[in-house]
Amino acid sequence: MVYRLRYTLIILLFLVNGYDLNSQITLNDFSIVVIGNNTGTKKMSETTIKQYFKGKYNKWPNKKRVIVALASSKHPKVEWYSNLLFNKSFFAVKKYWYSLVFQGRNDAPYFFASDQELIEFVKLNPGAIAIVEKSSKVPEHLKIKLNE
Amino acid sequence: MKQNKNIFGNQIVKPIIWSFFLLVFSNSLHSQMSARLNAYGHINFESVFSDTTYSNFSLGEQELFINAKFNDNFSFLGEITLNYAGHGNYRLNIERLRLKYNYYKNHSLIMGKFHTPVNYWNDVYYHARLFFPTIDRPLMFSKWIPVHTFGMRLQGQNIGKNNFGYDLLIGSGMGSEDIHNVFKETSITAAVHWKPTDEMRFGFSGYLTSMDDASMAAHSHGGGEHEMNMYSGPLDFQMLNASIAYFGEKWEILNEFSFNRTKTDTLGVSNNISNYTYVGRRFLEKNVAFTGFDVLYSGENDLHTYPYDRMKFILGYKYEYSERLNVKAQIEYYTNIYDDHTHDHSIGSKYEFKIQMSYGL
Repeated sequence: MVYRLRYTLIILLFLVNGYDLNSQITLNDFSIVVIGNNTGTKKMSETTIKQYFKGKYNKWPNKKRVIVALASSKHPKVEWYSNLLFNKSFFAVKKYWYSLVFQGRNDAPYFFASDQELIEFVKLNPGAIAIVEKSSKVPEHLKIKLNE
Repeated sequence: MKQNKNIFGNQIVKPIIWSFFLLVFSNSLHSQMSARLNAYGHINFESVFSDTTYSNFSLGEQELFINAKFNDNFSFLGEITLNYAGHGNYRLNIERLRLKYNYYKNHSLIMGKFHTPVNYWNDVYYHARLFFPTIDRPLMFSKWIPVHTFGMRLQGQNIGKNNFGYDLLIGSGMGSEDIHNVFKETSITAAVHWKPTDEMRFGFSGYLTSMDDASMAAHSHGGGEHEMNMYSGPLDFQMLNASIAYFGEKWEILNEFSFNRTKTDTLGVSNNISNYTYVGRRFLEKNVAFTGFDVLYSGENDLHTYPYDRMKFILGYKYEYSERLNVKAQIEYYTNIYDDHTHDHSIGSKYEFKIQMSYGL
């Protein structure tokens, strides 16, 4: 019964939005590096790391609070980053987070105008995560490897 | 009739409350506190075409929202609204005021006044019209949805691969949702939800309470057709709700189903039912064309909402200037389910045209 319900829902989901499900972009395909400070992990699956960015978890495995840092509207790569992490436009990302904060489910993310600002913020705040381009000067101890 | 009032004796409640506050403030001493303040509001225009025709341009609910973090585990959330109360007067309401203790992973203990998580709408949109898909709440909110509860709540969210969530709360009943008469009546709410994708959520909930005086029930947050309850005797109230929500890149769907059963010694059991359906199609990212159908029926022997039947058809359009500003325009047609004049509670048909500008700062 449960499986039948699940399959029905999945079919319904594909009918409604099948195209979008197939258009997921993977971080590994691009010149992106995930950075984090004192998150208690140096390696993580892409699915899991995206869930942290989406506010699905409040804490890291080492009990530190998750602090999400994102590109702001002034960041030259903001649309690209938003698509990579959320599969949404930056406008949709802002709406998503604005609603989550109002619901009292998550703390608001922090927004920055450049990769350098993102790196500085993560460096100073334990529990913070962000994505930046590989070409940015990223300290080795901040890098989180993707294992899929 | 069973009464479950006064299960919160002072001997039990007061030590728990004081321990909670002590825990919060002793923790906050060791860390830097961060706070965030937002404001929300809306402005309405409406024209009603019925036996009499009139138009209103009005200032809607204005609110302040405070979200603060004492440390990694303790947080505070407050939502205060200001409503026009006539003759230049405004009424100040505390809509949410809660302390949250995140005790393990995504599991939390919450204390205070909060929105009862009986359905998707009440658990996600609260009072900010900015997030509402249509201008008004579903009809069921004007009749029986217990919008607020003051009490204690266990909450879990995004658990496991399938993002399960739960809420279990014990708090005040419908007659005492605010700071007065707290604990006079008790309500119990159990809710679960499942988010198979980021855009989709399914939810089910059960709610039960017993009230000594049904005329005190506070649930008037609807589309403006709320009537006062004249019955002041005891009443048992049990409710089941189911929600389906899908807010994708192109399509938006929300269905809220509610069934409740009331029982009085005077007229016995009454079964009442309501369903709200919203379907929206997003285009050019910031535009949504939408339609909706809302229906509500309460039984002939119901003494909580009194016999009532209503249908509402909605056709509308929303434009989002930004994530903090949008405009909605909609045409509504109200009519009765039974239009055969056999029901003396028939209040006729009418058209309404509404425009609402909602904002968040």
